Amino acid sequence: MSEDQKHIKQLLQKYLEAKTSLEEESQLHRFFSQAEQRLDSRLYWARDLFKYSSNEKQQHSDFEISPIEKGRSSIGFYRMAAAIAALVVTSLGVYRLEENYQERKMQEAYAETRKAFMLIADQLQMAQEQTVYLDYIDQSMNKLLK
Amino acid sequence: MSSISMDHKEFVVLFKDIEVRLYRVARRILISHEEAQDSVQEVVIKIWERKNIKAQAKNIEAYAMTMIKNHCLDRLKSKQANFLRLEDDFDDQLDSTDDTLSAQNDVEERLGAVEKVVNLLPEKQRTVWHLRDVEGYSFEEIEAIMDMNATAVRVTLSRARKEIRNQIAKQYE
Repeated sequence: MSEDQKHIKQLLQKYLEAKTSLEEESQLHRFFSQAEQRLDSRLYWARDLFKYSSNEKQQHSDFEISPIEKGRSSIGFYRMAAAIAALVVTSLGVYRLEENYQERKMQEAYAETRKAFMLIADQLQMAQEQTVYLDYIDQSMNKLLK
Repeated sequence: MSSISMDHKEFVVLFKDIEVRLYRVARRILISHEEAQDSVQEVVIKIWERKNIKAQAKNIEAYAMTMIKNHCLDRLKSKQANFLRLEDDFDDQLDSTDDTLSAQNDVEERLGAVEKVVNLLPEKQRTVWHLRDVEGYSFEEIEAIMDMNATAVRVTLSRARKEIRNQIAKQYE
């Protein structure tokens, strides 16, 4: 066995004990990146391992994410969609209002208004009922608190 | 503490290299590409949202590494809910490590065999081994990232390396 390999074996012993420095570890990397011929078969594991870890250092260097760009643009998209939706709804509303004013007969307008008032009246009625209900709760609360 | 915030462009430049290493570590812990990618994305967004990172820019890499490690560990834990899937992956890997190697095997096969052995290590050994032997971090950095003391790091790393040696050597017998 060559002097080289003896030295490497000593280094590997240190390596297994996790006592090698980064510099010594790169020595091992260098040694095993060249050595292929006439290598002691007891060193095959180290040859494979150091090749693997050297290889891994180069892996996925093309990995790229730009999450912030992506995040921004998707927020931008939703904002844009919301803006367009709002615009469409508003213009439809304006259009229908115009129609109402210009084309509907007075009677129809009256009927609509009446309907609207009825609706409001209904709501008021309901609100009143709720208030009565609230009073009940109030009373029972008072009972409980006493 | 001063909190000078960096703009988006600076952040992207700073993180270009770090992201690759974050991904490799995440991949080592989680094995799956998709999960590793998601994790990096989530962690990088979190860091960006904290904004006041310029002051700590020197340590930003160790900081990011710690975050990705914790994030991946949380994922692993929640994965225990569907433990079966993990087991299956590992069983497949175990089966194929029974293969024997010889001088006839080409490099790709041999490296594939090493990968299987490494990825079968317990999570902590696997991560510490990766941080040292692939990413080349100093012991001090690994102690900080892993939140382990010096002795624990050395013991864990030594165990990992010996186990890898034993498993590969076994295939050459």
